[in-house]
Amino acid sequence: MSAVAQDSSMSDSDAAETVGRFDNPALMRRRRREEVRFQAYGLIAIALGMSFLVILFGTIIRDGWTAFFQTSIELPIKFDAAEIDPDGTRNANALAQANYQKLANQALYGQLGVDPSSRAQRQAANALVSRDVDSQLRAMVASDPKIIGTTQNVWVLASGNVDAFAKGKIDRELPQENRQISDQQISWIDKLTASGAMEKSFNTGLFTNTASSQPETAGLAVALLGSFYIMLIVVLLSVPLGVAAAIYLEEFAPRNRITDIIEVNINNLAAVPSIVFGLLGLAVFINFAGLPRSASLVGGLVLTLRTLPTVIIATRASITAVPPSIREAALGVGASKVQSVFHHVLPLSLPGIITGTIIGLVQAIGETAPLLMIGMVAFVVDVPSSPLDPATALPVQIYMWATEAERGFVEKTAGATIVLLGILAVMNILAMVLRKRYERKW
Amino acid sequence: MVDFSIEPGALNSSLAAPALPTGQPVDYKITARNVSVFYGEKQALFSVGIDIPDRSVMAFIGPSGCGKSTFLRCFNRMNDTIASARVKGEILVQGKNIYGPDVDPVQVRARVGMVFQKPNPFPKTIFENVAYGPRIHGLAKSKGDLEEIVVKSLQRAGLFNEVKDRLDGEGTGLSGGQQQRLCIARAIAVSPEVILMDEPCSALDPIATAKIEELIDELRENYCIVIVTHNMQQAARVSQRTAFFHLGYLVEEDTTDQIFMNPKDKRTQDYITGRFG
Repeated sequence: MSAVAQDSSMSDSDAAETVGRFDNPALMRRRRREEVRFQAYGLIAIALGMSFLVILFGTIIRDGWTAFFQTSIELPIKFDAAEIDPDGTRNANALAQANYQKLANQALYGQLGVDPSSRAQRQAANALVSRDVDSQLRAMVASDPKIIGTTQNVWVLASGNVDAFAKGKIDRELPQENRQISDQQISWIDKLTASGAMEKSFNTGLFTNTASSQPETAGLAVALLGSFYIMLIVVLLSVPLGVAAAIYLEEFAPRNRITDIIEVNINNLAAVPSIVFGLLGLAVFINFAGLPRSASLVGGLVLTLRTLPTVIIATRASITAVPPSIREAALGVGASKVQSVFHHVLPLSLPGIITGTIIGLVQAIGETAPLLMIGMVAFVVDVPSSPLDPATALPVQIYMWATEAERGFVEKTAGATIVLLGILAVMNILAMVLRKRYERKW
Repeated sequence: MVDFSIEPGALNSSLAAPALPTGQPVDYKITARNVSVFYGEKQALFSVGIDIPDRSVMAFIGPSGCGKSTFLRCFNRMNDTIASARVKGEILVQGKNIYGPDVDPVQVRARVGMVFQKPNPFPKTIFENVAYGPRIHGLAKSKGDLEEIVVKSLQRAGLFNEVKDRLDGEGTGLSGGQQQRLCIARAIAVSPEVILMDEPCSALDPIATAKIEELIDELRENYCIVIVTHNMQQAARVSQRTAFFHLGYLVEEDTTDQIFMNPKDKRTQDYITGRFG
């Protein structure tokens, strides 16, 4: 008979046979094979998912990390009084209209030893410096007119192409016709780098600049502020509305057909494609209510509608998780229904509500389609000072930069994606920490 | 079928409960008449009537689903919290019909305290557990008052000495028996007229059970206590009167001795001798 039966100390042959009944080697082998196979499927699925995640994050970080740095050139700029203020009146209007680009270019010619009589050389040199230098120098003079007539060492932004070259995004081994930087320019860049007059530093402009057609001066200020206003409006509206609706449905509403229908529809609302919310927002908030286009207020209202079902569902789930014995205990000492809810049930479900809200916010901050519908996809140069001003949002800014043609916007797009993912990661970690911290086991 | 007569002097429980004095009018704390309870279409309790004297323990016994807990939950209108439940008939607590039209069920629950099957302290401190009732009913005029109520309630529940050093510790951190005594302290902190106990020892070990039973016997001196129990020995130990329920009917109600020694109804006899249940 089988090995198990023989090894056993049981002398009783009946017992040996009972063991032997389950001792079918073919069946056992098949069962074990099935287990191994199933675990292998699981591992493959996880490995596949993880590898895609690694590829995704890998490419975004590879393309985007350089966006946090910016190349600048140090130039000894001579604020020539004859050039800026030929009349000597220090008239603000005259100061604003002077040709500051020329000052920078002249400083550059001196620095590089460019022959000013050669037009081609001049143009090649001019292309090293960002066109933004004009407004940078103008701002310097406006804030301190005393610098007129002196020579100052100023760090000015390098142009997008120079920046891309310095970051290795343009290959110097390519033939000259195939790259946007000429051999002459490369030799100047090398010279500037060697003398320490060209350096990469942290790019604060990424966070403080607004929309620009030059990649080196384009920033996320409008998008960050727009997203912030949207979040603020979503939190202020969807939390009270959602929590109140959830408490009413869970604790007070009678269980009947109408509440069943409401419940089903809330769940359905969570599954409605977000662009539909955008259409709704366009029709109701802009066309009917007459709220301004491109405003973060409208974006916030639309995304509140989008987030509301998530908040309601999360809140209801965490209210249901509070055991009925707690409600009975409160009612038993003579607390009213409202008291039992607000003194006991709500505080106990708060961690779940907070987590659900943060997850809803994470959803809202990554939402793009409805914002396109209400015109938050715009070239906004002024920092919005209120939710009524035109603004964009982070994901929309990423979309807009992705459609730009210039090379420098590739890293901007990836950089903005890193910023967005960073914000999402922080919010998710916050939700996780809160859940772990206040989690209660019953 | 239902015997409402009280036979004072017939009590002789194992805890040597003092007999009610003979010949004096008995003071009924609770009087129920024609109480029927429906859960939707299903009737769970059929026209039950009972008189429960003050300062004594009344035990409800019977097999599962016999309606004893349902009846108990009528005394503090806890059945109101179940949407499908409907209660007919009248129940007088201290002479006042708690199902009257002008009665606020929330106030009824303050007058009639309840201890549940599973210990259910609030996930708050021991102090807050006991202080909650007095606080929402405005029973304490000052912080000192409130502390006095909490200490006194814990003392009466026989828990004070065990927890006096950790009143700000979590109530849920206590042992099962301590939690149940905390729940009793919470119930008596609002000075109720009646304490209902729905199988208060079913989740406890024998030692914790003995302590609760001892406590019930002490509380009897000041309160009218109604206890539902599955444990017939417990009913015999702690109660002066016992009511036997079966299939939604009150079969027999008498002194505990009478029910256990000399039941009148065959069903009672079958149940207490273990033939069903």
